[in-house]
Amino acid sequence: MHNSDKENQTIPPVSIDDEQNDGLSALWQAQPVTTINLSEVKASLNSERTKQRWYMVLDLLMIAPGVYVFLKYWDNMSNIAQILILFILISSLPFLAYQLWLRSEAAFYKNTQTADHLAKLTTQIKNKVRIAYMTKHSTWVGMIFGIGLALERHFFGDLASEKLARMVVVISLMSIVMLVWYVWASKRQKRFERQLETLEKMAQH
Amino acid sequence: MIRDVTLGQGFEDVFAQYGAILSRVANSYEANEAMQQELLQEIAIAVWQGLSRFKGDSSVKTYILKIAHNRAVTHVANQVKRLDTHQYDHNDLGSDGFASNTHSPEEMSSQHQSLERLLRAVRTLPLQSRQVLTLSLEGLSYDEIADVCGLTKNHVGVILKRAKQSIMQELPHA
Repeated sequence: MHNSDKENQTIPPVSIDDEQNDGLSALWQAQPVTTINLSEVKASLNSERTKQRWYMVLDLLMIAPGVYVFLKYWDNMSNIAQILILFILISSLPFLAYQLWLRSEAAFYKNTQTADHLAKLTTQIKNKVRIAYMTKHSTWVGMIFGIGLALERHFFGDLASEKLARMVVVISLMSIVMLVWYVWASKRQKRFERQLETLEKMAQH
Repeated sequence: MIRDVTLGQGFEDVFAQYGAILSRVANSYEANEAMQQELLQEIAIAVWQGLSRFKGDSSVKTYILKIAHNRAVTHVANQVKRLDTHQYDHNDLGSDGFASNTHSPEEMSSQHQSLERLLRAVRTLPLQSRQVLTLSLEGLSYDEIADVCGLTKNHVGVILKRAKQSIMQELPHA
């Protein structure tokens, strides 16, 4: 699938200033090119938009369990449990807002100069490394808070033995999920660090 | 054109006119044919999105080339896992060949080899040199190249001179 290149027939190339360069330019423009499939572009664009919206919904759902516990059990909680839940919710909100901002930024392509784009991209990847690092460590921090809540219920609440057994099962399952999440976040962190290295090499030239 | 693009129309015209340039941008970053197509698709999506915000303060060509090169830079960063991304493979040139139908078989073979060497040399250039050189080969002026890359006009001249010297070592008869 090739196109003949018809664009800019009338523009005199200021930058090519001798015959040798004209030859180079002619050779460059003689290379075969691929036709852009516009229906595929439209479909990909729609698919990408849908995917980004779903990611945003998932981001928002991440705080849903905390909000549910907050609304459902607030009145039955001890002061310590209320402080823990409030701390989890309040500390997760800036993280959520930042995550949503990053997604909206990634969704729009701007016509910035390449030097600026490279600098901005480098900053974004640095932020992604930080987010992956935070996500990785939020797993064991989250587990400590979860276990803390369970212990608080055990020592200060009137927890029946069957409820306690169920809580142990839930915490064990959560530990497995968090371990998988830790490994996933760690891999992401390493991948972003490699991307950062590539970008920094690009910027050096 | 600007009004049409702003209104969400005329995208097809833009791609018909500048599709070849966008394809060459992809070719300058990717050697593998499948990866070139993937990058071209990414560039086309980015350009499509970018055109809806085009305000006409530069030429359409300069505007979409900025977006295309930025997308290509992002693509390169995202491909760090693929070790063969920038390696040139003779089998990756595609089934259509390099030369146009108007040349003789000898000319086609010669042009094929020259183009092969040119592409290989371009892809080995550092990012900034590669960008400046390919934009120059597309007929952009120093001012336009400076605008796309975020460089001064003098800096463009220096980089272009060095890039050409490097390329001419690979293509002594071009």
